[in-house]
Amino acid sequence: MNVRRNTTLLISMLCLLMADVAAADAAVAIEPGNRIAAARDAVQPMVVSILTVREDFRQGAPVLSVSSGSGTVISAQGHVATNAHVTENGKSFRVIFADGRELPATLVGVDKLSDLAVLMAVTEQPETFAFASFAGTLDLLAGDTVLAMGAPWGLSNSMSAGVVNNPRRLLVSLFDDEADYEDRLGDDQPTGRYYAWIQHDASIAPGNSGGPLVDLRGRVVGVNTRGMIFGGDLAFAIPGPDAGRVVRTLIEQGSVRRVQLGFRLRSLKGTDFDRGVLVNAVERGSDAEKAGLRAGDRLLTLNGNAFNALQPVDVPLLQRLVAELPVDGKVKLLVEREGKQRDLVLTAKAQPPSRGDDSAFAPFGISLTELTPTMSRRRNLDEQAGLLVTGIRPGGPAAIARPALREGDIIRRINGKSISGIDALQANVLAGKDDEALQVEFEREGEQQLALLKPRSGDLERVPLPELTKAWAGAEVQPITTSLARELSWPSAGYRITRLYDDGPLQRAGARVGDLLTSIDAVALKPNNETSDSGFHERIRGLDQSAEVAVAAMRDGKPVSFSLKLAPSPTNTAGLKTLAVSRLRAELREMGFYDRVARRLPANQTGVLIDGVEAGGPAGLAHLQGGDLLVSLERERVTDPQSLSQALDRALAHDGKRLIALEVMRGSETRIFYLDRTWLEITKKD
Amino acid sequence: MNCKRLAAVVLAISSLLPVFSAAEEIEDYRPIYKQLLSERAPAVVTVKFVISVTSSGNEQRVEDRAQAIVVSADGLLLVPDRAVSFDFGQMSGQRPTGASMVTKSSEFRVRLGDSDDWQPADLVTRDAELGLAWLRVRNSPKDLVFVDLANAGKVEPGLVFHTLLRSGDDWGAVPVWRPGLVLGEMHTPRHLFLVDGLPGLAFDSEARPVGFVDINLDVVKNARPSGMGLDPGFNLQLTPIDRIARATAQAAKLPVVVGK
Repeated sequence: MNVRRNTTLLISMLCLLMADVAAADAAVAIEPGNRIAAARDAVQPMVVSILTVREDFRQGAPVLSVSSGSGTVISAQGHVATNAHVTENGKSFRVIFADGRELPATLVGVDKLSDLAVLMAVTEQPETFAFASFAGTLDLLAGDTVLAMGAPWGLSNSMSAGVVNNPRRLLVSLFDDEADYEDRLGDDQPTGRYYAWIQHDASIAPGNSGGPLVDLRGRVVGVNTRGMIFGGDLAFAIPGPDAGRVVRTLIEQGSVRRVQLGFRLRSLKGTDFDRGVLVNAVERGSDAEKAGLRAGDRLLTLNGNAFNALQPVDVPLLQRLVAELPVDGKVKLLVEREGKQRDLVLTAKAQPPSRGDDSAFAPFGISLTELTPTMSRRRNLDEQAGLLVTGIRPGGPAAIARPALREGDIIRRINGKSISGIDALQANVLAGKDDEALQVEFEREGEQQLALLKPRSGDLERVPLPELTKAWAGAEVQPITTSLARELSWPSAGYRITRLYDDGPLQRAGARVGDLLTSIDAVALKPNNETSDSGFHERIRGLDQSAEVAVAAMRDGKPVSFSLKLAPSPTNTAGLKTLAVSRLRAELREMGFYDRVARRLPANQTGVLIDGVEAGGPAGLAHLQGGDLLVSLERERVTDPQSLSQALDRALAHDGKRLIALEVMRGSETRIFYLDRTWLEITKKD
Repeated sequence: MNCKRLAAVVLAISSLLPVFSAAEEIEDYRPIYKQLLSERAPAVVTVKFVISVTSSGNEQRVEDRAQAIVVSADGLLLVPDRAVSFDFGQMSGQRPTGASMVTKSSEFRVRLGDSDDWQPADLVTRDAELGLAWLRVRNSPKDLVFVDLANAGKVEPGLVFHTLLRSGDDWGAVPVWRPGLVLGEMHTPRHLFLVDGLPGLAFDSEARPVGFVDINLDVVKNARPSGMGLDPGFNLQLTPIDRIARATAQAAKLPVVVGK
């Protein structure tokens, strides 16, 4: 591995983290020898942990999970600054304050390009929060002590200390093209495009993201955003002044509007120039290209203001100056090419979103994204309107369409009508009759193709897989071969009863554990090995389910006999009824014979088995797990998935009670869990 | 890899390959192929389905395909049980306690005869012991070409049998045939024949069904390197047709399983 690869790997290994911050511009009273404690006390009370229930899409279907991060209260109204990646795909948020108080929160605004977001704590009564402010100027120096506060790995109220390694770090290796490194990170990852990072070595971990970096004056000097996932002590924070500017805009406007001019910049590093900044790339077909701008030109002034970018770290500020120009405003550029200067006038255009939001469309069994102009341009598409298929549910309508749709297809029209967004798709599909085939026109690899697709809802039903019932004796046995019987000085070979099931046929017939079964209807039971009991079970299963047979056995060395009336075999796991309860995001199953056996439960034990839960769904948030046996809901016994669903309906019908008690058998304990009815809001639309 | 291991691997692989030292003296298989093609091929169909496994509440789904045999004029289909459900616990010898991972299949679709349409089908029942399951074609025609399991041939060691399959779409969905050989017979714990050939419904030389050939997962599960003893393993078994016919008659009386 060469140096270049090492550097690339280093950058690609940087992971997104999560944390919390708060800071005050006002200097704290500093006692000699205890400056860290003073800085801590100035900010930590305003640091919150953030719990995000996020919705991602897998195989064309939504999946809820939970992630955590950190944040800082930055207004008396309860605004919380954090990272955009902490709120990414969030369906529901909660903020947990330093004193343990937990409040729901709503999303105020997100700016993916700077990786910042603002949440707002929701209270039942108006409330005034203590808050911190971001530092107004960046005056950190390498070696300054800084504190990282937040909830690493979800461990709230944590703090670590380190020093600033470099207050203006750009993640560009010595050998890479500085304009390319952003591309490698992906569209939605924080790139430091408009700021240089504060690199420090205060330990941070996933969960610190969004949390504050605090200096010893008790100021919030940064927002911890990235770190090394494998050891190391490299951490990166968004500078406080930049973060403050963005979050204020988010609070006021809900979003940050930026413009583009159709070109990209890079520093003069490696050139003989010492003035201006290089135009690194010009977008094909852009106004900039039409105006004559070319890659390699040197930009000297922008609206009359001269600037220089000698090193890569000088570029983010210029990028920000360009991006913050007024939308639709005229921009005057002075550029130089081959020693000749010329003026250009461009119109600043609003930056389009790089990609649309993902969503699932159940009637098609797909997940999709609305095409944005940026996406169309990157794909060299002629048409900008359409829906990009991002996932397919196997066996779903799109997967069995003729021909099947695939990931990457772009849906253009349904029954001849143009589809520009998910709302239009929904309207067109809902307008059709159930099970009516739709003509879906889509683009695939430059070809305009047509598929016939029958939309369908409710494909989450679970069909039990019953087996043909067979005769059953209600016992487990151990094979005793002829030679083993001889060694044991037993009079005969056979199958020794090792377990009798309650009220099973053999128990009812009077058999006991330890009896050696030697024949059925006078046909000897002779195992041919000492490991497999299948010879006995096969013999039984070959008989009629309601047959009555004569069983000979040995007990304590003496012959005994039973008249055994066989019974139908119990239903195995696959044959049991299962229900996927979408509002709980849990898969429930009725309890079967073998479940009781495995848990050593009495035959009359009732309950509903939880086959699995989605971590971010209401059942997952209530800490239920796969394998739990749910025996009651609000003290009402439940016997099968349907009865549980009905009990939940009844509990929800009672107003005023936020928590619903769930009695669960887990391992050797019976435990109580609480389902918060507000969590059901997450899945209300499903 | 040392020589001993290489020898063991070669032998293990060779045990999976068909043996063509047929006991019956059949030199030209073309007449048999023609008869199977004309009489039985329309009843050999392909079934598509979706296997789902739920882990931690998240369902993973995979599309798969299997061979099926039409066993009644009104659309009863015989398929390997593993196409419907597979309990990984049974691979390790566990009882069906519900603790192990179980795949469940759904959304069965079948392509009948020369049709290019995939018709939905529903599960009727399964028999894990026989390793078989039954589906019923939804809204099936009543005059399908089918294999009458009651009109069966006799199977015994030394018999050359014929398995008829249908190739995948990429290969034109055409009938393909392969001979197999009955290598031995066992009675304990149940009556089975050890065979060599391909999985599927087996026919005798008069195109009568004689049994169902499938992989013996118990044997696969217990497979151990035989070392220098070079003890050959047998991976394919043939379940006699009489047991299959009885179970099929039982399944034919059952309704399809419907969801909630």
